[in-house]
Amino acid sequence: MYLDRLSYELKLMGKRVILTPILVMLGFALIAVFLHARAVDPSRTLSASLEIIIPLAAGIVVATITSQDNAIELQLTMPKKYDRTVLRRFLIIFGWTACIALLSGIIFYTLNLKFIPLSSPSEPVILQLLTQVLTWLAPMLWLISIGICLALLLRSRPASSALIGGIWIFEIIFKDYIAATNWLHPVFLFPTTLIPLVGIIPQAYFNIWLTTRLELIGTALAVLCISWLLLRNPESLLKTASEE
Amino acid sequence: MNQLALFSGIFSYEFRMQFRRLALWITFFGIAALLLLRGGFRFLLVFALNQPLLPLVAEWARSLNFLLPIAAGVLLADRLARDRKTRVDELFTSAPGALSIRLAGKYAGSTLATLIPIFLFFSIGAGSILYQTHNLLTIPYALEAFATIILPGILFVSAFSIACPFLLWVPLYQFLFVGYWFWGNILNPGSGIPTLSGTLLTPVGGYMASAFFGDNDQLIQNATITQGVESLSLLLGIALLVMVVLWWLMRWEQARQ
Repeated sequence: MYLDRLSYELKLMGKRVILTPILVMLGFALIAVFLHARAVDPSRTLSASLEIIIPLAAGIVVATITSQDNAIELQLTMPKKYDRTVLRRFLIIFGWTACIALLSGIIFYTLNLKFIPLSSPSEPVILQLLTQVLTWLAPMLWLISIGICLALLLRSRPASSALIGGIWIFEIIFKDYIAATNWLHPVFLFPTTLIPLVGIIPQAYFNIWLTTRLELIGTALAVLCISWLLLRNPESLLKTASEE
Repeated sequence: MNQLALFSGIFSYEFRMQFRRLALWITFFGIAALLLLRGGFRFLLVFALNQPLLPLVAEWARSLNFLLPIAAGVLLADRLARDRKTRVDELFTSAPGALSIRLAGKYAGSTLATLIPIFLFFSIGAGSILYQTHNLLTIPYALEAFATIILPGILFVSAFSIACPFLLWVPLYQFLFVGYWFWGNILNPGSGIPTLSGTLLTPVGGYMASAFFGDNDQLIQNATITQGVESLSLLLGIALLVMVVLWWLMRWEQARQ
């Protein structure tokens, strides 16, 4: 039964949802080969693909898929609550994108292309892999949850995508300003690649890096809870569908 | 039916549809707030006094051009897809009036409506410069900066945003567009990755700002007037070309049906 539902949801969302993260990573693999051929170290670019690019793609796609349904009126009459359906869709896309990112991260690690901060030279491999997961998991969760919440709050998917795009570019252009401003640290999305915080760094810096990652995940989960409450409001959902 | 009347009808409907969209205003307000968070306030309050007027106005236009076209591009991306989603495209096909006029009206109307919040925000900065410098030349300079730095970039972006979703899934286009904006306008050409950034094809307007206004505190420095004109013409020419290709593609699709 559960597998049937899963396959129906996949059919409804289309192959494009599955293909998007794969194509992004394949594109970056080609860029990495190109850079390697020109004797440029591709590790920072590959780190950017995991930490900066994949979360943006996931944010826009999840916000679009979860905040709309062509048969929303029908969905709201079903015994299965709509927020559960959305949660399933969210988990499918997020889970799939996370799998691709995890697999890519492991490949980069084994090819010695890792681009992660380390607090000591003798850090166990499993901790290093966990650090790598945190580099992309935190911004991905944050952009996805902000995307869903904005799409539901503003009752517009394009507005949500535009604001995610604006925040994304802002985070890149003004990285030094954000790094130097303490109150902006909880929304510092891409410190690993942009600053960059890489290799063996002082424990204090590592702690700041780790704190920002955990704060990002925390705020993302809080915003997801708000989105879940918005999804339980049929009036808001119907207006989202009709106002575009 | 008179083609001009048809164009003005489509233009006014597209304009009003986009202009009355709450999402348009909320998004630009949000992006403007981001811009003010860093640099914008400083610029509006104290920057104006210690620089020549011409590069100052250009710098304001150029700094807006880093963030605001993203909102414009993303918000315009669903205009063509919306016709399909609301299932009015077949109705349009059966109605009298050429497809080219419909596309031109859609492009002009929705782009103009999207330009209005940008112009308003730009005017606030220009007003601040005028207030601080007490120099009335600010007004013509600002209009010139808007017309040569912001307008070509938005026309370029808008053509792609209306045309590309004909072939691409809208969220995928939006993601690619935001990624392109960083890659083609902000990424340093010395990073090793081949990029359009720093070439004549940058809609952020670095060449125009440097060539016409002497704003050299940026990636492009000491551009000649010819380079400025070339960049401007290329952006406008490509925008036109993209709309013509869209027209061909849509005509081809209609002929197949």
